[in-house]
Amino acid sequence: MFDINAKLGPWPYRPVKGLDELLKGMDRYGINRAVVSSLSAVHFLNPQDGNEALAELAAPHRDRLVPFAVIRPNFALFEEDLVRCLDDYEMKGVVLYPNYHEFSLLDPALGPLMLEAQRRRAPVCVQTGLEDVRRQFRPYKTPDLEPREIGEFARAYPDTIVIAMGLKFGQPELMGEPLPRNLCFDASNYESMEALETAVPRFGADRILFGTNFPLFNQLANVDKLRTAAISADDRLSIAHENAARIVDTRDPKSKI
Amino acid sequence: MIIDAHVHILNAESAHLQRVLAAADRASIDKLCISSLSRTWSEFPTAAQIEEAAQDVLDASTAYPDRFVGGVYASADHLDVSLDMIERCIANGPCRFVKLWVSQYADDPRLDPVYERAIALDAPVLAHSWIKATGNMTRESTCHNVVNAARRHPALKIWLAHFSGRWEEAARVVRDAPNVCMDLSGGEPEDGIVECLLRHVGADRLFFGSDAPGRSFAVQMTKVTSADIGEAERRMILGENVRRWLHV
Repeated sequence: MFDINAKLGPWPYRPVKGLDELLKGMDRYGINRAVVSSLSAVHFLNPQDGNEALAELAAPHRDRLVPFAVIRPNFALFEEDLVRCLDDYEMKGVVLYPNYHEFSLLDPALGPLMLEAQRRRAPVCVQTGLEDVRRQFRPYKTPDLEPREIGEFARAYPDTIVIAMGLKFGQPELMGEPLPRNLCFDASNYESMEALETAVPRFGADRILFGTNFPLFNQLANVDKLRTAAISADDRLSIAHENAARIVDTRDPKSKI
Repeated sequence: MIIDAHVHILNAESAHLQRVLAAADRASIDKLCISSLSRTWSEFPTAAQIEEAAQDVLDASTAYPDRFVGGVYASADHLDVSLDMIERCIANGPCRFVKLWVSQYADDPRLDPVYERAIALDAPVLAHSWIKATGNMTRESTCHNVVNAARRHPALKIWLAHFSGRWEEAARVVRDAPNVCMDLSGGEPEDGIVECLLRHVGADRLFFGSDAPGRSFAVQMTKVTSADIGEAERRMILGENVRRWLHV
């Protein structure tokens, strides 16, 4: 299996597991590879500090861990951070947090970032949210990103693969159907009694990705979601591994996602 | 035996019930504790909706007696109908528990006749609860309301739904109320929930529950199956505890 959505680093609101537990869980549940990004970078003013810590942490495990860079496109010199992450640290993609970092995906200022991502065939992940807003016990709330905005974003940059991460059941269709060819989503927070059974015929198994949302979710949740889904073996394989491998390894936005 | 302590049916139509059971089968669930919150999930149900909910659960429990354990939806706003349904479906029928949702706080004194009848029938009460950072519904209970009711009725077996959405605190609130158990249903499959709860309450007071069909049987079960706990504790939480309470 290939986990498209794992993170490493502390979380301000409760204790979470780290690198050792990630690798142990991957072994236990048959997850061969995982995309990892910095959880610290969500909360740091300068996410590059988180990216650098992640690069160091992941370095001995590059056969299994594929680091992605968290980029804040409304922070000075973010373009240099992007180039350093992709070139020096050999990160393979980008993660954006528009709600935590307070920017719009539709801001033209994202143009240079997306151009660079396109040139390097780096997929761009958009995290819709990280926490159930009902459990945000703090004075300010961080609501989930509107799915519609992700759909418009993907349509504005058709030559870059966009991965919506953390969408809930009923939200992929809010990105606007038919979904553009370069848009896919992870199933980490996509839950109902028949979630994948609903999503596969509607959106196609080739645009759904297995993701755990480690360490915020238990890793087994999405392993068992996929294992117990009433879908074909071919569709299960696509979601479990093939789609992520195609996106991360070939990074060709013109291929069938 | 794996028992899901918190499942809703949307109606009693055969196709719906079979879909619920097929999904439960894929997650290896043997029995499901079902309730209905009426077909429209009204915040303040009418008397007719209370009766309709009871009838749907009664029909489902009769159709699949080995799989469904029925719960009777009660409301303090419609006490006579609620008590009638408890008589029809629990005292003289196959249902085993009472379900409370958001039309009154769990410690509303108007519920006392419901609690007294539940005690007499040895029928546990499943009480919805949440502490929402975004604000609760008009009369939506928190774990504090449920514990107040439990203290007023020490012989009552009351089970707190959804660990109040705030497991870090709910376990502390219920710790000294031994007649309160907790189900693990609903919310996102965040890591470490069960381990956190077990710091304050024993494994004998936790029930696996999913809140299907809004949630996934398999995903919600991983709160228990992925937890760093012993096998005996896991078996208790997955079914033995609720089986003991419900005598099923």
